[in-house]
Amino acid sequence: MFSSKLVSAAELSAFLDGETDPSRRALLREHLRTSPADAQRLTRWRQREEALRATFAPAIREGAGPMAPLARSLDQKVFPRDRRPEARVLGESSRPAEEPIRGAVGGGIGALAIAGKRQRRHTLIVAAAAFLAGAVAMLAAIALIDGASRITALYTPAAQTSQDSH
Amino acid sequence: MKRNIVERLTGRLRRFARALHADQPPGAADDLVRETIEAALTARDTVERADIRICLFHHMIDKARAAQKDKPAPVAAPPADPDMPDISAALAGLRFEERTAYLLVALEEFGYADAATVMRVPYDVLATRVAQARMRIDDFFEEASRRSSATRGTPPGHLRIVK
Repeated sequence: MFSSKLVSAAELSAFLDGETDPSRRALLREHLRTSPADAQRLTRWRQREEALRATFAPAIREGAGPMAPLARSLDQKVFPRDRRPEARVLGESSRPAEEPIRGAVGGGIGALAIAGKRQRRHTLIVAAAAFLAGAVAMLAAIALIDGASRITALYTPAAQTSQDSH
Repeated sequence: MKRNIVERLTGRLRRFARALHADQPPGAADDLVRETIEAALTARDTVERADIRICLFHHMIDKARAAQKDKPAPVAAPPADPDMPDISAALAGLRFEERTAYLLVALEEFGYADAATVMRVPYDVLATRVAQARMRIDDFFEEASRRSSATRGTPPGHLRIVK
């Protein structure tokens, strides 16, 4: 149905990495159903890359190893002390003067981007809690203001009329 | 905990360096990782980058490329054991830019956009390099299997790829 000439090796490669344009995805799937050679090629690439990751997996298990102290000193530079990146923007005396302050925000974003799924979930929970706390505080404030204005309205008839006019 | 992100990333840096330096003596990879972190420590842009992972891999590739230029171009070494051609030998036969692009995507599992940022090349250039690397590795294994069947004097196997 689809000639293999319509699908280049480059497109197949991008498909393997999930980088295919959405408009071409269905066509590629159809192509792979009808072209066993390209389907085989894709499988071969996928298996080879699994083997590649398996070959070099020991390095991940070894972790930082002797480089740990050096890595920690970079951690100190990029994410100094506290965990909340925003807090560092407000006057952090330990930072060298020449370092741009907005850099700290960038580092913070990086921290969020890097953080694993569990941390992301944690961040979400904290954000949701903060949002709820804010909402409750706002409602409380509104109720307070409302109550206060009602009390003042009771004692000052002028305020009552002005409120009615709204 | 957002603490010790670099420390946890270092294992990944070491893995990448070993694959990138597949053709070099052991120890070269960890030297590269050390240089990378040191570069990131002194670089002003380290904390300006939105993503420390992208930043570190960028430094690593810069360092490795510079080292590559100092040394004579590596000869695409034939696999040590022709019966067992391995991925390290295939990687060593790739051009530096192709190997880097391929490893960023296939080993480190960066998306193309991030990998392109790491390499400071446009998206399409990155995509092309990855595809070229894959085809070149195919050629390497094809050539290796042809050579091994030739040395063993067996007729071409039934699994030979016909183009």
